[in-house]
Amino acid sequence: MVPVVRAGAVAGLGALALLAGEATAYKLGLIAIVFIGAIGLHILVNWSGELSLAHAGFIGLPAFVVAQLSLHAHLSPILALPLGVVAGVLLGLVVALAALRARGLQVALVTLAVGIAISRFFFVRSWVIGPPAGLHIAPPSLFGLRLETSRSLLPVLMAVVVLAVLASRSILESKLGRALSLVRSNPDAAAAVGIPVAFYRGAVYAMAGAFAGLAGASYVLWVQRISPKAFPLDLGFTYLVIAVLAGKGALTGVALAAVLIEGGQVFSILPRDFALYAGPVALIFNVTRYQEGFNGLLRETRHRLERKVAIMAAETGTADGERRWRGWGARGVRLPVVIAALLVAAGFVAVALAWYHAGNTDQVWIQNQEMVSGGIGGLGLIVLGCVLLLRDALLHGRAVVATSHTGVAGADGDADWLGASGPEPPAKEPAGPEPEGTPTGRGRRTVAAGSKGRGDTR
Amino acid sequence: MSTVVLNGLFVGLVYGLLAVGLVVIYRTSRIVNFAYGETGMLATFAYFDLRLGTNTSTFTRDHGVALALPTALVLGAAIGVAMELLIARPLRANPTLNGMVGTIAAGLLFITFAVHRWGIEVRPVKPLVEGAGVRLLGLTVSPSQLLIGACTAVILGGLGALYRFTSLGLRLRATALNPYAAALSGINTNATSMATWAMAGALSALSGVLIAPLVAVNVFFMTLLTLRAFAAALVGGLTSIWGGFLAGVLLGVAESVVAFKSPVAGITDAVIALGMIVLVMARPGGLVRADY
Amino acid sequence: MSARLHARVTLPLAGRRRVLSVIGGAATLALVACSVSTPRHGFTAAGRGGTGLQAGAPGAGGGAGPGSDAAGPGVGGGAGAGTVGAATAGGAGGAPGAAAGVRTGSGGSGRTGGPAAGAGASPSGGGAPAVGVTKDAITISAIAGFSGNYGAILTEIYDNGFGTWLDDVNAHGGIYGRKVVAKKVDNHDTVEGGVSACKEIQGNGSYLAVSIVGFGGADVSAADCLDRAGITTLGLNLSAFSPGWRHVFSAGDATKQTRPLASYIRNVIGDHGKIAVFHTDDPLNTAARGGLVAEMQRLGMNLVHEETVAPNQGSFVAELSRTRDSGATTVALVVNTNEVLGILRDAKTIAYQPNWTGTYWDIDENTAAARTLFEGIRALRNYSSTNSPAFATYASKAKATGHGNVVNSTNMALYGIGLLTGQVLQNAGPNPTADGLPGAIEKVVNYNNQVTMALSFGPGVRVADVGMWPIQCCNPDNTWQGIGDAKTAF
Repeated sequence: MVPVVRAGAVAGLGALALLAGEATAYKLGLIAIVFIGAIGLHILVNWSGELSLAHAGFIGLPAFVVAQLSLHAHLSPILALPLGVVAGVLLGLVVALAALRARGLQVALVTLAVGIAISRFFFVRSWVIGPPAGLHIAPPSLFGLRLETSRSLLPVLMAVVVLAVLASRSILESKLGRALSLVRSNPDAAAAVGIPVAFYRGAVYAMAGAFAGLAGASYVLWVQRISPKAFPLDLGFTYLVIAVLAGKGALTGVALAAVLIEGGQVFSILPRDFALYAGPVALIFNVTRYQEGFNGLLRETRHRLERKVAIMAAETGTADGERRWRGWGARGVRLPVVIAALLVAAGFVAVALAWYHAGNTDQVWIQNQEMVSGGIGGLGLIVLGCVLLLRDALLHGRAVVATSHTGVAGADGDADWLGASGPEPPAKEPAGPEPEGTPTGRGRRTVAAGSKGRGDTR
Repeated sequence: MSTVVLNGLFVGLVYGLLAVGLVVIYRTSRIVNFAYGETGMLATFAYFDLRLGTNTSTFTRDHGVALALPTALVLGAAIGVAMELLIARPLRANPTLNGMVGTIAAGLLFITFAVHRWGIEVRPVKPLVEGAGVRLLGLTVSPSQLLIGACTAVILGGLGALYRFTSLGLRLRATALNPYAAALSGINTNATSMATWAMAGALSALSGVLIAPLVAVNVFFMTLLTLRAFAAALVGGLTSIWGGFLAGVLLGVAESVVAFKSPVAGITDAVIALGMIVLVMARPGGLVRADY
Repeated sequence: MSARLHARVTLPLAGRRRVLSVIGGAATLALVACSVSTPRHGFTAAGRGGTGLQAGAPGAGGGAGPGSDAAGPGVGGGAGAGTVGAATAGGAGGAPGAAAGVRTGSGGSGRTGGPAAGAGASPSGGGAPAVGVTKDAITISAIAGFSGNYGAILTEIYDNGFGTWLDDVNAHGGIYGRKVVAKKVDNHDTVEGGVSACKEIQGNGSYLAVSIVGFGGADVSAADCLDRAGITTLGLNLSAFSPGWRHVFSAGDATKQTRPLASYIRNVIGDHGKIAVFHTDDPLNTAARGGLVAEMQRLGMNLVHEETVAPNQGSFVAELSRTRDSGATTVALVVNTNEVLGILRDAKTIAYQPNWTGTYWDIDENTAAARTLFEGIRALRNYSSTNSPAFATYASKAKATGHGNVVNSTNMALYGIGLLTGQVLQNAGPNPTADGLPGAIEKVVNYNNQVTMALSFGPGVRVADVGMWPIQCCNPDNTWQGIGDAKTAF
């Protein structure tokens, strides 16, 4: 349920982004870039309990590397993204050297010194930062299509964000992630178990550098202009605020914090003073008292929701509680179905809007971009929505079992949207263990039942 | 050349003085106070407001050093105590990294307030002591620099005496060495901790007032200097007062000499960073160990 | 029961088919939609007037759509397709089931609504009324870092200085009967903020973009983005100028601002001996230093020593010692305010007193705070001083328009920028067009409004020649005193 909601929310936001105007799409991209950079610091701060004050430099130096390569080697910024990652990793490894023997505190001070050194040494060298006018990169092109506007570049950036999220999730859910958790909470126990603590602590700095490098390269891709003033030292503090406010856990908290802080700044929603005061105050509060950050808030909310559902299910009996949890209305309309339908509709709207805009200009390049952002992006949304619908149908569609369930209310009314009928009451089921209330459980049960009956339609 | 070395000596005194304050806090609370410079900056700006040295002052007449200086010191101490209560005390169990983040946040808060109140322009300020200065080795040593030298000597001597000869000093040393044992033997660690932070805050305020006539004063003036002080304090392992001070002085001299000989922009910062990496790899505990 | 069973068993099969057909149908429709919006005929770019992104009546104006072979002469022009109806006919050919509201491929500039005159204009769009110009109003966008570190000051001087000009000109009937509407656009004083400002302007319907100031590289990134979008931009005090730009006009370029300093040193300060130059290592001052040094070499002046200082550097004793050792008698300070105070103070410390001069840091706020440091210095500035007659004029206009409580030279500088903007709009004539705007700016030749710097563009000139105001410290009220007229060479 939650993964579907998450995927739906993400895709929904993507849909909204594609429908946005040029200026708004540009600002959304800036938020996405900050999110990518914050992922790296999140792993570092929240998962392994280290601190890095050099994040601005970790983002800026790879950004300059990518920009220079773009200009001089005529490499498209899209192709240069991995090079940005590599540059970031190398920077992280420099700090990792220090982390080999020292405690977190000393390493943090080293990162401060490294950040200052990058800012005062590299960002004044003209072979790094280019001419005083700054570096201007030509708009990137993909498959021969020049992506001049932010709206057309947005799907590319969203793909990069998705890649970053998938990469970080695979890191955090792997052996490395578990080891980092243990290192953070009890380094001595971790060492006793055989985890190479120093090596992992160094690797974490490299990872933070990798994501920072990706963020820097994305910045070059997105803004197409770069100057050392874009990466001052207090940018690193902003990222630190985002990471600490996110709290330990998944990336949702990071996304929330990034949207709040960078979105607030870029869209100028909140008065600037309020945002500048609120950030540090929230940080102090989080560090000294709450310590869980946005991820903690989200976890609490989810637990509360789940408790409520469990209570509902317990007090009214499984089938009804099931139904209330799964959907509402007589037909049992489920949330994933609603999300998927909305996605498909949004996809069509995006395509239609792109059509409309493309038709209102006589400039070929604008038409191309509308096609890319609205057309292809909208098509993607439609496909995603249909895939979700298909998944839902496969999970909830039922073959009916020819066993004695006459007059059982649930068997009739609880049909899914495709017309197949719902679950049977557990008492009548002779089949084996039945995990209740899970779609796969139901599927298994009815498949097992179906094998006894007329036909297995799966 | 000797001019340059002398100038570097005075610059180094500034770094050393700031490093001492950082060490004092770390010894007791095991927290690196990233807001140390900003504490002093706020107190200094309040001082100059009272003395009308700046051009956005609230007050319309010069209230004189006798009122302004103690006010600044008290303000610095008050900010230190507030930080102790709000940041250091809740984090006593797990101070290091969370404490750093907390003090970074406090520093950001102070800077935001200062920018809001005073703007970010550089302003010329009135020195504490007027006068023509002394000519020494080709350098006209201004009264402000002499004052720093004198005050540093007094402060270091006073701190040394405090730690060695007074009971407060004994309590401070005990708490620094082992807070749990100190608490067990009846020392009021809360009061000791508060006293330390208040002392450090006042020291920061005094440093700021002394340093201001010598540098370009805007709301970031202490921050930039404190960054060098961190490196110096690290050499002293963050626990040795003399180690941190001497490292600061040497850093100032080295910086001056390097700037004179080969003025490559940013070379000092790059060398400091490399030096810190090597230091932390080779001797993470610092070059100088404190003997409490 | 068996019937029901049968029904239930068959439904899932139908369900699967249903799912597949839904997917297939969606995919087909989407593909068709995409292919339809693929342009099949080349369209001429009708300049900026054709950015259909900026709404306007859909589909109006001539031209045929993609997929329609009747495209030919309809491109941008109005050959026989000046009316909405004809356009629909032409456009609908290619789009199956085109709904009434969706005019795919009714190309032409979506902006020009009904009037066939507008739609039937030549492909260059010269006759089409420009964006941001209506019968009663002409809109400009003013870009500055209103939410950056200097936000408070910039907002104040913009509202009061520029605002004085704005209110004054509108109170006197506007420009050719059109009220001037000025939209404040924030560039956040960051590189990405500058691009953000540019994207806003692309959608807010401005005729002219004026970049007032931008720290942190915001002005250059905004100008670059605006140039790429084809929007004419007047950039004041741009920290850099890229030769590849086609639509940006720079008034007060850094290299040109320091050029008069060379002859000023030789002929006004009167030093024919050894000169030294200090410059801060940031883009603006580096560019300015380049202009100064080039001019000094051209005049054959004796530049003996140069120093580079870092922004916010604390101590300058080393640099000053070396400069003193070189024997320089005049030192040109191409630095920011943050450094000048330290340099002058440290120079006193080592008892080194050459002739100081320079630009950028000679603002009245500095002399108000520390007159003794600046006493007797002669420098150049890009706006005039409080003892000039123009200041009195400005002060009276400020009072008349309700901005009388903040009257100082910095606000006057923005007033001067307003005057310049007004001159440009005036030069655009009673029927301003997008294509005519560059010409309007180029017509600003030998322009001196006695407030801001003297400027001279000219045909094909994108970076104006700059005349600077000579000033000296100080007037009795601690403001810089003007000692002559603005000149490009002294």
